[in-house]
Amino acid sequence: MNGSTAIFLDGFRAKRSAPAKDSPDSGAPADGMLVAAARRGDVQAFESLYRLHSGKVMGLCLRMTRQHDVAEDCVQQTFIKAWRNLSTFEGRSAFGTWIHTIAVNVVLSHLRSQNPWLTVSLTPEDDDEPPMLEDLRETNTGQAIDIERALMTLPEGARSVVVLQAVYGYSHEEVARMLGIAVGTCKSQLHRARHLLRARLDMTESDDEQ
Amino acid sequence: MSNNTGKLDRALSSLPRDIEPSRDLWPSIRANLDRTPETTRRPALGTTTKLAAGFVLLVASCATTYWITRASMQSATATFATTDGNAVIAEYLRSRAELDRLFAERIAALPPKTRAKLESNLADLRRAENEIVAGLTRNPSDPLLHELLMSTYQSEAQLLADVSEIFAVDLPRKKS
Amino acid sequence: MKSAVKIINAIAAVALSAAQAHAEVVERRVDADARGEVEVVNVAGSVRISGWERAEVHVSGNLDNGVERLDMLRDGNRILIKVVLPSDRGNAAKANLDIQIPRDSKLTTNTVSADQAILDVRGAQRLQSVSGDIDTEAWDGEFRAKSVSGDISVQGQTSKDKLSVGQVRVNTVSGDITIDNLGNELELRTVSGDMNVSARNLSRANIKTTNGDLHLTTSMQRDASIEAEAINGEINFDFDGTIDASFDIETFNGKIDNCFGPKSKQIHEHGPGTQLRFKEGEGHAQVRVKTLNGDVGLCK
Repeated sequence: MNGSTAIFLDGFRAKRSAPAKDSPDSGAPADGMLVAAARRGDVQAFESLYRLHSGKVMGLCLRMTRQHDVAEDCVQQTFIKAWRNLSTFEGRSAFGTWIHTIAVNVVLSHLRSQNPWLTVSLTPEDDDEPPMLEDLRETNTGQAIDIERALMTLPEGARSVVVLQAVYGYSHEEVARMLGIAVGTCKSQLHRARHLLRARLDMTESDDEQ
Repeated sequence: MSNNTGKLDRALSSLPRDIEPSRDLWPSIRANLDRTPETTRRPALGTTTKLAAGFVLLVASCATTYWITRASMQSATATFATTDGNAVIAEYLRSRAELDRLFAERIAALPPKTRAKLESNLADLRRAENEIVAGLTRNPSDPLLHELLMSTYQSEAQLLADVSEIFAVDLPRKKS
Repeated sequence: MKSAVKIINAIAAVALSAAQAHAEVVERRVDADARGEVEVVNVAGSVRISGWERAEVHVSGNLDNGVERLDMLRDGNRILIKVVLPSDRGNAAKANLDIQIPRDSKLTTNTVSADQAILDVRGAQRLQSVSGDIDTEAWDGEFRAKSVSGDISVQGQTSKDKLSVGQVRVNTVSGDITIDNLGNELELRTVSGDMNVSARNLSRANIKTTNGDLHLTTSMQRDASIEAEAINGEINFDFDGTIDASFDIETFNGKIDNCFGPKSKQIHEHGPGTQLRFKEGEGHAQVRVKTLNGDVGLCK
């Protein structure tokens, strides 16, 4: 690994341990130089980008697919596709947002290959309950585990929207663009997701408004 | 970012965004990266290929139209009926200098023996065209000559298009 | 078949001596779709590909020191095997590869100076080379082969007692073309390569050469259409079986020799151009030949 890449990576390990929650993509400034190097064919720079972003991509893929091995497959495909399409990244959005968009597409392709009738653009009424529940790895407090489990029980469409919007902090417009749905559908799905989650977590609507 | 600070939203937003994969996925990702474009992701067609391929198609269709017309007329003195054909050839000849320049550029990366063969074959085609044109000067309405001339232009355009396609595979580059 | 075996043995000998001299030895395996696609890319050295019954792709071989790596990538049912060279290099380093693929795979190859020898691959083939020779078999699938100066040799193989019936297209600039035991549809193009074609039951042939010679031996289906054109090359046809065809042969400066029918005649009393038009049998098939200077010979 060359000297400049090592400095960036060490700097970002510290930041990474306490990710900022006010933006979907923390650590953005140094991404720019790594992306520029990766576009010139610097595989080590791309590895640094992988190290910086793989955790969030995995979190996204796991919550959307609900299966570890499938999620890991999606993570790999996401970074391979990102490498191949680096020349198309124009820097208008943060690199993290761009790679999450790729990850969402990879996951949706996988989900559609499993269920050709799946479309996230279906209205909430058409979005079916998932047939089974896969446990996430337990990494957190009891409440976090409960919420993670409750997330897993959500229908595909509602789950995708709430993960992107409420967990990863993307706006309605960004979520709609990533999922290829209308903003109105996105808002309906989020409303439905909240309603189902409250029911599963024994929360009342007044709890949610506190 | 939503301003909703309800209990549910707070709980959702406090979930960890990062989840480590169960193993390091980088080696597997690295193995699938390639620096050079995949062969099947053909490079965008350059000027040579587009121009040459376009001429191949146009000349082929004109040649077909011409031959059908000639066959139906069943006359050894049938004239070259398609004005389209003349326009295509005229356009092709006007672009030839540029095509030759692009051709020379493309084959510069080939081994000398292969380069020499390509240059020699292109020269053969040009000589054939000149010979046919000389024949047409003396026999302007000979349908066989017209047909062979169209066909030879098509062969030349095909050669140029084929040379462009070679460059889907990396060739050794001369050290500067 | 014999020439394919010869080339394969020659390639094996080269691969062995290269392995003994220097180079990295490689071996990889990956599961593959029994009817998937396989693409092989190599610049220099050799490529030997054979079909087998396993749903697996196996690559072994040796890579010169100058080769950066051998990639084996999968994307769905497609597998890419590619020799990757450093981006700033002078002469191409060699890789000699021995590859087994599922027999019914679709195969695509792309080499520069590497020779290709292919056995028992029964899916569609798209083969391309610059100066390397291509020696292969054609089965029922679609077949395309193209080279600049490499010779191309195609041996038709039969399955279920029927001739190879796919469409066969071969194109060279100066490489020679040899076709043996093929039927159905042929499209051949060359500028200066010689073409030796032995076919059976042709339904359609479209053959074009500028300076190379063509020798075609074939029988024809009832409504066959055979067209051949040459500028300076000679065209010779030998027909097998009963001939039931209309002939339209014309040359500007060449001679026309016919050993089984009427003789040619001058088109103009004083001027170039010789023509031969006649019908043999009911005249169902069509044979059309045009040349500028090349002589034409018909025989059976």
